[in-house]
Amino acid sequence: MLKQVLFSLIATFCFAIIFNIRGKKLFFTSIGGGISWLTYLLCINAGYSISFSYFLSSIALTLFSEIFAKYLETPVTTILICGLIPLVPGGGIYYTMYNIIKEKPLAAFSKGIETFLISCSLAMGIVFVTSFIKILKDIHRKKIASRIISK
Amino acid sequence: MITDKILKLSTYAGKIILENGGETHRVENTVCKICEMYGYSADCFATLTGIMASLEDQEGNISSLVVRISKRGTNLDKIHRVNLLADEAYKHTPEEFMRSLKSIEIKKPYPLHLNFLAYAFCAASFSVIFGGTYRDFIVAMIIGGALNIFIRISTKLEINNFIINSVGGSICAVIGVFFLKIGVADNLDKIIIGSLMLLVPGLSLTNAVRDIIAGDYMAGIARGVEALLIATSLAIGTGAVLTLML
Repeated sequence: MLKQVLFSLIATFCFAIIFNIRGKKLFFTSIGGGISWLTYLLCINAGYSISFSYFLSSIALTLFSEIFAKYLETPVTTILICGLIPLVPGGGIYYTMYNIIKEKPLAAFSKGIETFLISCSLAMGIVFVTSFIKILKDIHRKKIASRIISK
Repeated sequence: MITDKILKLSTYAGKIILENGGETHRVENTVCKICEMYGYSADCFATLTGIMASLEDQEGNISSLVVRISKRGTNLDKIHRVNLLADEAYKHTPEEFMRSLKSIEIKKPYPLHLNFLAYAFCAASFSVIFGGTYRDFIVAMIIGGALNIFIRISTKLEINNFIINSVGGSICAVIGVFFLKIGVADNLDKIIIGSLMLLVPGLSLTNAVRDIIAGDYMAGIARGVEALLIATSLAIGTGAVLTLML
């Protein structure tokens, strides 16, 4: 497991270079990739279903990116896009296609559905955290505004 | 006229963000923000292929501008820089602002050999993550390098995304099967998946979701369709080769 997390760090680091991220952000982006894969592995080992594990790891990653994007003063996507790459279901795409060419329509169908569900759970994870953070930000802004008015 | 100048530089900032893989709602926000910082009210509408913005000055004169985007790449560093610059637009005069935008635009990406190494190691590490052996690691590395060269050539020739991805997928499969046949590779599936991760639509997926959250359904759906198309073309490219060669 340690080996897998380490390699996901390296892979995300390489992706960050491909997407031209520079400086301190390179480091945090790689950590983001490591966190996303670590969460996924922990969830799978804990016996959760595949799509739920992806959902949780997407939540962990998005939280991490929102927090550190604030700290690094950079758009959230800088960290989020590269960190999400290890979670994107490349394997699902491959096995769906493989089962189709091996003429196993049922297996292909179930793999295809699984791939689709994984993508949806990744999306939902991002939606949950981003919306939640947005609500927090709005409340914060309103507090500041009301304080100014009361003064 | 000053309004024209501000309109021009704000859409230029938007253009840089859009060309380098930013979300459309970020483009719209940035354009409006820059105009507001210079004291004008502006409205902006952006899609994946263009930006439309209009600006009203104090006398009620309206000027507007349409900017088309033809090329799209990924350079997250430029988005970061434009974002930082836009946050403190009020500190600069329009001329200074334009100059700093131009200097961001011409910033060079990482050198080619570093990019090449990144592709190679990325594919190799992914093949290990998905359970490959050290021999798979080396084969995936070769595929990653080959993909890098192919992508570099095809972006220069301006080939469309669909072809790039299906040919890229078939390159993964051809090299993988070749090394499997001569007995170097252990797991064909791990190698191909590992190197497919380089082409997988992570950027489109993320941006689609973030655009939809921001309420920009049109751009979100366009990105989503892009992600689906890329995935399909990867599957077609890889599948065709595997059917022929296995």
